[in-house]
Amino acid sequence: MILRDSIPLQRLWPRTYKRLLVLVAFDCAVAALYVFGDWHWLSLDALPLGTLGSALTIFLAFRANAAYGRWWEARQLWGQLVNTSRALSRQALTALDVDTANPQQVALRNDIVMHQIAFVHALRCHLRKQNPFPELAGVLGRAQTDALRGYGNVPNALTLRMAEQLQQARELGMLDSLRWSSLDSSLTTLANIQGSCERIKNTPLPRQFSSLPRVLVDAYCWLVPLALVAGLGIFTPVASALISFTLIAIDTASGAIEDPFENTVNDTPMTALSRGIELTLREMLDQRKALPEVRAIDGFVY
Amino acid sequence: MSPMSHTANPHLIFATNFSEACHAAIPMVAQWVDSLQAKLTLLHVHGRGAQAQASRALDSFFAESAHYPHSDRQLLSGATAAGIAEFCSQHPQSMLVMPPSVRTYLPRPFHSSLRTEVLRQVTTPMLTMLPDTYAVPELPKTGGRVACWITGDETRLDHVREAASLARQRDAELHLLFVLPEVSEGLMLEALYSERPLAEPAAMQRLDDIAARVGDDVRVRIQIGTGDTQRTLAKLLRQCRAQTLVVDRDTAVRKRLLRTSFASALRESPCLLICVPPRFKQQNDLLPPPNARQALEEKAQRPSLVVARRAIAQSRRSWLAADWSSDFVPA
Repeated sequence: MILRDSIPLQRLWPRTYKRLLVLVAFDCAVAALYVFGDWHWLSLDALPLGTLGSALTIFLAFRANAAYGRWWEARQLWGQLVNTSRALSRQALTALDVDTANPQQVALRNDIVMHQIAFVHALRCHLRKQNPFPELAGVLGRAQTDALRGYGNVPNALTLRMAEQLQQARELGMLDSLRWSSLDSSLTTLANIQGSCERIKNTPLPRQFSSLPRVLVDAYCWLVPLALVAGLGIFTPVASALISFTLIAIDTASGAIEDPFENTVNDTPMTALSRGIELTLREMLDQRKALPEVRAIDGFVY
Repeated sequence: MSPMSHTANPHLIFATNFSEACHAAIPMVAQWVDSLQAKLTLLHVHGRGAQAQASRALDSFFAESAHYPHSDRQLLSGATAAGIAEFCSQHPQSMLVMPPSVRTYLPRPFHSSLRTEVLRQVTTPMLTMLPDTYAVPELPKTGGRVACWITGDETRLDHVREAASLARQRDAELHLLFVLPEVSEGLMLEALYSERPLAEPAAMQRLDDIAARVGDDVRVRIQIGTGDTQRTLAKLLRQCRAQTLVVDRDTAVRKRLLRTSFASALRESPCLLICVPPRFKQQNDLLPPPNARQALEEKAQRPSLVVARRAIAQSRRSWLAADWSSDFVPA
């Protein structure tokens, strides 16, 4: 996620330069032919182009809105994950009848919270297609982590394991049906959050929404110098390049945020959020481990 | 005994400037750490007066590595390339990881590649990828394929040694790749100045010689292609479905006026790249030209030579293997 106030143009340049350079060359050619070659038939009436511009703006706004909708939904889901993690841990720590003299019961209670921490990290790695096991080994220990290696969907395996731990607590008499139901509904919420994140990850924005505006932007940018050249003459490339850059930048910017789990600066800041969840949950366990918060680096937080 | 069972935990040094490219490399590094059970060091070299800011950034970069069983963070100050090289020299049994810089697509006439500058100074292998390399193949947990590019001009076999060690560690196949030039009048001139094989039988013989030195515990395949180096090498890599390409440093680095860059021959490589610098500059592997092979094989039968070669092999340990006693003894 980008936190800095200004985004340098250098960031947009790699995604736009090919289209812009071609267009600027075309603009210069049109201006030169019109002014020096007296090719006045090149000039177009600006009015139809204005109407086309209005239609194009609607398309671009629709696409930007759809892309932002995906990005914002991803952020909301991770906000919900923060809340659910805290709620589930609070329930595990307070709703289970734990005999503090019984180390097995204390370990079981704490293990549920540690699995919740592991779930958050595993979900982040799952969405970013990153190997979670070295990290999980630090949270759960090597033996429990190795037992997860056979699973393709590690966060789902962790929710299953948490459910098994609740079942074990119930068998040990630490939990009645009513409280078990409440805790299990928190696990269902976790599963729903994971499923929603996977939906965003695995379902791209319909290709029509991304390819059609691009084609229309290109067509419009090719026509702009023809409409401007009668009025601006040799200065046509300046105005035309500015208009083209604006449209291409909007098109590119909306494309950059449509996939919020792709391990880029436009991502939902899952590393920072998962570290925040871990710090909070460890505080609840009274394990104040010396882990620093994840801060923004150069205005970018991941 | 499994090849993995007699090797120590390798050490990866991830040199970072906190760029997007470094961040994008995190999944790849995590995979290597898990696959090789490696120790991980995050290294940042900052300029004067930037320590506090650099320290905060280093704590936040690759935050998940705080949970890795063996990981630490190192902050140094001074010149970047010299600092990285100095740190690597203190950890000779390590591998340096340096992602490419983010491409700006703006003209940079005086830009000099930091990676090639570092590569010229370090004595540890460098794991990197080229800017045009998209969709780097995932490293499987075990198995897979390691490719090693033999140019025919090399006088050392450090890169073959590293490739064999990596293949042994991962229980992978080792593919020795060789690209023959297309027949032209220039070949006649080249033949005067180069020991490089210019025909398929000679190339096959050269690769056989090298394969014989690798050891029986690594499955070796030989692949030879003819044509333009860049395209043919990429084609061979795609054919053998290698995840990693190991090359000699002098092959990877192209020296130009006042600066160095990566060789254009590697531009289309679809793999991760491991560049291996010479460990000991004064020693050569004495790779024999094809017509001297028979003589070497006769000498290789003498126990004293075997012992001598064993001693050299032990002194040149890879970043991966703890026990090199069986490697690169003439077959």
